[in-house]
Amino acid sequence: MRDQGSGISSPSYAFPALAVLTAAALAYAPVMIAQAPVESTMLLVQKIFYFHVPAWFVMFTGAFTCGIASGIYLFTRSRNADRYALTGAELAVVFGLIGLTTGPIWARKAWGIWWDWDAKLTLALIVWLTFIAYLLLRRYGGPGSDRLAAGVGLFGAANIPFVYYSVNWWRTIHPKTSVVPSLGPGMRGTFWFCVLAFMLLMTLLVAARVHLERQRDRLDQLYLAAEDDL
Amino acid sequence: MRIRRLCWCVLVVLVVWMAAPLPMTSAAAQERPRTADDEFLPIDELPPDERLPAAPFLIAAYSIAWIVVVGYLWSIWQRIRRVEREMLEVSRRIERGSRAPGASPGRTDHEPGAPVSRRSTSG
Repeated sequence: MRDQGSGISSPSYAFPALAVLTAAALAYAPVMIAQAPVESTMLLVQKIFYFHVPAWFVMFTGAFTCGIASGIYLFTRSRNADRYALTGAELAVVFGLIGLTTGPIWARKAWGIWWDWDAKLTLALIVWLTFIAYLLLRRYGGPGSDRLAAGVGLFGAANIPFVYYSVNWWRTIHPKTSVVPSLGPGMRGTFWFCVLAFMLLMTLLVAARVHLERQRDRLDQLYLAAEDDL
Repeated sequence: MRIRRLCWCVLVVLVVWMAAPLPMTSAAAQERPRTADDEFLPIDELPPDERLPAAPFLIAAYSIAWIVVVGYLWSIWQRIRRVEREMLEVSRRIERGSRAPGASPGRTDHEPGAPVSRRSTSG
């Protein structure tokens, strides 16, 4: 779907179907969360978990996307890989923000404090700041910043396993990775449904964001064509 | 001999100094009322002013998540619209330029020899 004159195109034929599916999943997720059993010790506030953990899953996926695409870009200079790297970094920042705000809200009720400088929380903040650095580098770094940013993206993605396993390696107050496999039947279904809804949302956002970068490249080509005509 | 005696004195002073606060702190701890900071307390035994209602936290967390997602979607949409508007504008200029021989298809304020400004929308 492309307008031959201006080069404007829509993302894909599958995009509207994906948008409807994502909207339906996100609309049904709160119903499932409301129906899920209440946890015995944390009670109602435990339900933050159904958005908090999937947000981190998307953040990690975005960070890995950025890292892998940055690696490909460094070796092949593929413009498409660069688009995915930028998209992954943006998603890592957006969903990291959700994780870093919903987490302290849960902690205030569950732990009695908003924040603790333990290994898990501190590493998560550092990784999030790394991807903010990536985006700032892309925005204000000038010529050649795409390669520098690719290095930062690789470094950020390499930190993700440390964030995930930090609760098992060091003594932290954050719940361990064993929480998800040990969920009760009513909670497990709700949790994985929320993960699915967030992953659909991530796919939709990736499609839209990559489309934006493609349009920007076409705009650059149009300006070059205009320059050649002079 | 003197040095040995001095060492013993220093050792005794150190031991007394380190051990002295122990009975005081334990006595002080006994006098203080039990709070959630010191040890595990069942939620029913907490004073009412220390109990936090869960619903506002839950609502705040979900609201923030939705606001961030909707805000990000809106920002992508706005950026796409801006780029597409600019694409239409540039393609119109090119068309105008190709129709009128000798006319400049670039910006109207473009000076000969200067590069055409590209991508006014970024970020």
